[in-house]
Amino acid sequence: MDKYGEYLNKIRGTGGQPDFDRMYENIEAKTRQDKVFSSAPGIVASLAVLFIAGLLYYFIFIPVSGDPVRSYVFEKDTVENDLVASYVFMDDGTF
Amino acid sequence: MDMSFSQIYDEQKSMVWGLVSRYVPLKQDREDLYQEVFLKVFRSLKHFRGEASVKTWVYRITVNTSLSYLKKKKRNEALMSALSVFNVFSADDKQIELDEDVFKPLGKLNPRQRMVLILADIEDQSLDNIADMLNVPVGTVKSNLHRAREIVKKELEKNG
Repeated sequence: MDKYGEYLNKIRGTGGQPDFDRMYENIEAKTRQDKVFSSAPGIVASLAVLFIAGLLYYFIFIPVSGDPVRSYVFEKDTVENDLVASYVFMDDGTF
Repeated sequence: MDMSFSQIYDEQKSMVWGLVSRYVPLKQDREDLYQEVFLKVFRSLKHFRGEASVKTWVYRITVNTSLSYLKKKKRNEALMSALSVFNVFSADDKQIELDEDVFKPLGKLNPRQRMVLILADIEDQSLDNIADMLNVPVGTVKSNLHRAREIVKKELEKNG
């Protein structure tokens, strides 16, 4: 056999027997990281939906200045158990 | 896709190890590359449609991952070597790639020449197959193989 053929045989003989189980564990650990990262967009999307829902709630249900939507009866005047007046406090501070 | 990742791993691990250990000489590089190959297999498993056999598919991933790995490594080494001029890294920090005599002639080849020679002369793949796997014309494979053999033979002559 010529030198080149001998050399190819030497290359064929390299490598030995590695610890396949240990390397599998390393690969599995990295694939678990992959799974965590692949679920991240879902978590971010859920948080974004919650945030937008919170904003909508704030702007739709929380009154802005000068636009009262709530009022509170905080005192009633009665004469002989007959209601004569209610003092209503509006959100904008008026009675 | 009926096969699980662990099944593919069990069936293809020896083939993948055989190829990567003929391509890179250092144990640490071999293990890194081997794990990178199987990570790619895991990540692309959901896209595998079974058009080729699992073995062919994993083999192709191994070939292309090995090529990219060695190209990246060579780029990093060139950068480290350039930085060592400015004493950013000392010569001791540079990893000596070819620690085994047997890999010295292969070390003279560029990543593609090395892969073509290994696939053609050690793995006994046909030139058409190699061209298909590397996504290059057959003529390119032939010229790479011719040049690679020439360089290795010259190195063997030089080293007696």
